[in-house]
Amino acid sequence: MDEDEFDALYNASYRRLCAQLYAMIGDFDEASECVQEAFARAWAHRRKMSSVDYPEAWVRTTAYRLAVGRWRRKKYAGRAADRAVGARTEMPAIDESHVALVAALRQLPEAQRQAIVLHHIADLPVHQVAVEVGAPTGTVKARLARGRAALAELLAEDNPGAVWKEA
Amino acid sequence: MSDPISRLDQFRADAPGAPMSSAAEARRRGDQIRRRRRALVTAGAAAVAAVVAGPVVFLSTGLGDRGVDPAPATSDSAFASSPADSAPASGLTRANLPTEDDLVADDPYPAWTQEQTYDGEGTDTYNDCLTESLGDLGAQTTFRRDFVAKPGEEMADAAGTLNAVVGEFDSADEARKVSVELSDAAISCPGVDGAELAGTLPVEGGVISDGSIGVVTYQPDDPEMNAVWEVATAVVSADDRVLVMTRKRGVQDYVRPTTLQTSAVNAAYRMVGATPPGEPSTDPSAGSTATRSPAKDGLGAANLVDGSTFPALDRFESALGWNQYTPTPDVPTLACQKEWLSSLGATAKVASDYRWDTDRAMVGQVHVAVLEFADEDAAGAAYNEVMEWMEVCPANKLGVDPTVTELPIDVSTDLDAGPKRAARSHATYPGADGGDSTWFETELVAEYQTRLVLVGYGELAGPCPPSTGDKNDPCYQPDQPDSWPGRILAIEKAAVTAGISDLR
Repeated sequence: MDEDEFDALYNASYRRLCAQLYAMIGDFDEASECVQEAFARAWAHRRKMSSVDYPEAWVRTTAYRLAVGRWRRKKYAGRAADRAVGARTEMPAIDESHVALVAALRQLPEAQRQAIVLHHIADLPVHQVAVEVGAPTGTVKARLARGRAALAELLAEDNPGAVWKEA
Repeated sequence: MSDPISRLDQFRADAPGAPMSSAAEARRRGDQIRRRRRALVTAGAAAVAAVVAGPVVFLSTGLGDRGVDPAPATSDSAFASSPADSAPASGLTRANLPTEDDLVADDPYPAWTQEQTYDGEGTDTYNDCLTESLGDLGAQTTFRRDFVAKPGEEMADAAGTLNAVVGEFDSADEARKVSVELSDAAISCPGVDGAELAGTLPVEGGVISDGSIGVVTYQPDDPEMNAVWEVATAVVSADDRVLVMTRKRGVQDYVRPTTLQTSAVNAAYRMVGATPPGEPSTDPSAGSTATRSPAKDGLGAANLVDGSTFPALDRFESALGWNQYTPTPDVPTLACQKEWLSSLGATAKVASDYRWDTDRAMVGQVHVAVLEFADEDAAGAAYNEVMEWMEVCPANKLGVDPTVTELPIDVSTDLDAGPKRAARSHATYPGADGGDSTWFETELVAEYQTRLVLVGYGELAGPCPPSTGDKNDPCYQPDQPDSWPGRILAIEKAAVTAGISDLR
């Protein structure tokens, strides 16, 4: 992957990946930082990226794992965040309805939340979601159906709840 | 009821996200990661060279991190070669090519016999993976020798071919650099589309400053061929010279990969005009270096944790529980380590490996190594080196590219074993099934006086890590036991306690 290809990927997908990761983990700042770091790792592995079929999916998965790792480190260790990322950027305020949606998503089981975010927010077809999460398409469809039903109830309650509690 | 789909659609349309950082910033950070990896490669090579200076005793059996290389080169007598013994004769000649006596035929194939010798590297390709020859990379002089299995003998046709090319460079540094570059190419195999890595092994000790073997397999063009091609490439540098030894054959999946280790070590000695370790030494002082007693080095079986005391991996049923085994081919103790542990310059080492299997696959693995150093400074330096591995993860031993998911943090107080320093990091790497399964590995290094204890503990899961039982965890899985964090700590504690038991 050369500089132009990387920049094109970055410019085309950075914002939507941030949004997707935010929907998955419920923390806007963390999502942005982890996506930025995942892109840095993609550039560090650019030779490998040339043979990756879906670079955007690679960045998304890496960012998600980074986010989970960072969350756990804060939760269990109470120690300094990894120094892999730079200074925090000032984040804009988020629309309240989106905050409520993300809070509701956070209450879903992880598998359902992941399926919903990948299908409805990342806009992946079901078969591609199945590939990304490593589950049969039937299972993904079931998760989507259950997830949507649960989400509808949670949104109806209009109770955003807490998002991404810090340790 | 609120309509979730329209809310989700709106969310997608708005794409609430951070202010756009620049791609250049991400590239700068990526370049920084790469630079750190490169720096570590150089440091690793220097550490390997340093090992040659003194004898190293490995107590456990097996390859790579398991300790003893079956090749005689890592034996004490090999390390005891005097500088004069290993100094290259002036000017590379055909005499620096390996002979039939240097090559080990693997059972059930017949012995290798010399077929042809060339001045230069020949005009045909001698290695399918490498896209650059030694001449391309700056060798001033090169020679090549081809071997075949003794014609007419049983299994000769199935043995494939073997060749060795040696080249002389301007300096030892340049030779080592070329060796590292070719080793990478042997593993990634840019010359063949679809080549898959079957394994890697170290080649080290004695006169060798850098060496490894990469084995790849790939599908034949001929659809009638009922096997895959296997190319094993040993790349070794010694002094200002580089050896490339290649064995190619057609194999069935169930055949154990070629190792080439002993042959490559012997050939490396021959390349620099030294006596191969398998032959009687002409240096009278070499024979007088007695094998050091394991007991004298202060490490023994008592320093290795008993795996039967490990907590069960309760997400999976296993008929055997934690079961001790010898990995074949060998695996690194920590997925992120750059070099085999012998590069750290320990005076002694013990290691053990355990696995947890379901009826279908291995789903858990524990690798423990205890290393003893000449003094506390040496142990401290090795600790720092391991920390670098855990932080940067310049791994090249597993044939996969692990990712650090949590940088090392201080856990010395968590272990209750009194280590001076201890750090744990987390890394992930893909499972072998090609699907979404992932190894989630915790890597630990603990230092106590002159000793290091390393623990690599991996559990298979994916895409999320095993559950911690915390409902706020983004990966909370209510159907799973939440024993992962406790299991990690219990295994680490047990391994460190045993590892330093005689020092406390």
